[in-house]
Amino acid sequence: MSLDDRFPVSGNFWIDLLVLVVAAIGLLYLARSTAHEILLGLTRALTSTLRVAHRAMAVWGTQLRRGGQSALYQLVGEHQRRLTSRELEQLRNHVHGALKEAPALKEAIEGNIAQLERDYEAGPALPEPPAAWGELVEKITAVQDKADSSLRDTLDALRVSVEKSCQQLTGQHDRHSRQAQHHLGRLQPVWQQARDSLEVLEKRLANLDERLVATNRRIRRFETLQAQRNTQTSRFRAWLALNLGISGFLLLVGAMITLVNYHLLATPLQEAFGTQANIGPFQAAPFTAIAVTAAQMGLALLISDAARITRLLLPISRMSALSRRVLLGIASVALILLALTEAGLAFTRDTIALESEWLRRELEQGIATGSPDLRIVPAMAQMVMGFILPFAFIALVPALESFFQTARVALLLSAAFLIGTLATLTRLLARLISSAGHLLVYIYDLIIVVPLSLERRFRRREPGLGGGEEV
Amino acid sequence: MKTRLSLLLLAGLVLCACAPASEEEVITRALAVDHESLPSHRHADRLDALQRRFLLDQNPGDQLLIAPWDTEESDVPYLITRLSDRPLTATRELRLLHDKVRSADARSNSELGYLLSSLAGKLAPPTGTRCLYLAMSPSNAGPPPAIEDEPGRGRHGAGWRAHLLIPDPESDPLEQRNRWIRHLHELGASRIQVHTLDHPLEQLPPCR
Repeated sequence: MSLDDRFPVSGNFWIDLLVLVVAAIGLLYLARSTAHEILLGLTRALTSTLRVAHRAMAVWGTQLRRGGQSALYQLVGEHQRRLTSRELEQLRNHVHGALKEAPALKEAIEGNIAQLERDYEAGPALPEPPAAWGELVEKITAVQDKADSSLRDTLDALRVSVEKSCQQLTGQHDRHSRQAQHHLGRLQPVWQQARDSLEVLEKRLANLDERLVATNRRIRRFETLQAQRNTQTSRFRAWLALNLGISGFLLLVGAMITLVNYHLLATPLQEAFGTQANIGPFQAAPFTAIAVTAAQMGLALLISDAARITRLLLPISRMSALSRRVLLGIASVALILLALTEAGLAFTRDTIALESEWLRRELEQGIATGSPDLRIVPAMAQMVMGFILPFAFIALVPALESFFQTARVALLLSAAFLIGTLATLTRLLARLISSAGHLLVYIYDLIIVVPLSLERRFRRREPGLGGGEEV
Repeated sequence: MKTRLSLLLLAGLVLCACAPASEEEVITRALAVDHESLPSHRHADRLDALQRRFLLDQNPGDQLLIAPWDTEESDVPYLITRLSDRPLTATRELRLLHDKVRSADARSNSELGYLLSSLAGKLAPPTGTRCLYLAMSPSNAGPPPAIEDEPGRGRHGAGWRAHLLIPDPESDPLEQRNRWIRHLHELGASRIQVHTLDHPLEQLPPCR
């Protein structure tokens, strides 16, 4: 349908179009103020709605960010607190050990000292040095040269007796000296023992000193962390991302271990139950394999919590030490029994697979292969895997705990970031709509620029109301 | 609460330990080889491969019938076996069965019409997936005349599928083949497919 059919004025298309445009401009000019109000009102309403949405999202994002940061600080603080408490525990154990050994060490050192004193007192007295007999002999010899014969004989006899006495005394002194030396030689091991005891004491004190330094360092880090909470956010986020990545990777490893564990169990259990035994709507063998794997994971969780490696289950944290030990014992025994069962089942897996493979080969090639012998190495390898894998779950429970903690914080911070971005986009959109409203008004005026300019021209010619002459 | 949980756990363990074997859909495959009508010196390898492929397609819990079979215990000219649903036991049963199939003395010289009628009777029950693999050369012998009062005869349209395996496509007249197909329909086959036995046989036509 052409324009002439809808709007037949003159029969000429261009004239009809011109009339239509002029009429439209006239109508637009007449409706100018209303149209402006509609356009501006609409954009204002949209803008204000978007601003409200922006504010709500900004507040929500801020709350989420604060919550995430608070959780992050709590997480990092908890981590540091755990490290510090572990250091303090080690220090306490160290001091306790050192103090426990201190009385024995002190007693040993005192015993050594007492032994030394006793031996010293029991030892021979230090012999007097020999008298100056040589000088006396020399003097007698000098007098003897000047004396007469009778006196000389007497002095000679005196000299001989003095020399004998001198030799006797010197010999006696030598014996006493040797005895004293021998006694000192016997004292040497006691001195050595005393020296060793003192060295042990010195080492213990040095270790204690090192431990004290490490604990002080840890406490200082903890205090620094508490003090720098608001300034070290990026470092904490990096730590969070690292922890999340590592724990996520370990959980992936755990998922793979679970799959391997399931396959180790499923085939032998099919042989035990048969393929047509069902538990409700499920096949018995895969269902039991899944149930046993889940039970192993649950027991690993209980063991980890009861041994205070993790703190995932609140009721276990509230238990007394005795109850936890009982639970730990029961769960450990149950896990060992399940691991032994799985090892036994996994041992038969190779036989099942091997016989099936040999029969397939026999039927495909038409060559009689006979029954295969048991392959010891693969069968044993699967058996060992079947025994070890359930215990690997215990090692993965801390990763699960870390993942839960870090994932919550990461989720909060990611949500805060997304909502913050959305709030910014909403703000931008509000601005854009507000500007678009003004732009539409200008475009509207541009369309009706001819009547508008005529109106302005006529208005300028009209006398102003305030400009009339007073009579 | 704890008591209930313990009872549930105990019930689960009992179910795990004592779950009875449920009635699951059983796949029944029957293989019939007409040794009389086939020139054995040309197709012996193909038929041997067919029998081995037939055994290879069995799974734990399936039922299989091999004919013709010369059994001493009864006058039924086929061997019927329900494999164990335990994989290792089923493998050992299949191995024993293969040893039996390989011995040429076991082949019976039963008349084909009577044989097919008996097999159709075994395939007649309306449960499970059932199919018949019939290896024969239609050119050498025509189908037997219908025997209405034969015992064990299958009903018309009993729901099993027949696969007519032709070792020698050159000696396959269309008219003879159509007569065999009509005969199998009368015995109870719902769907019939004709295949040529390739050498070596890569895959048995699917039963389902």
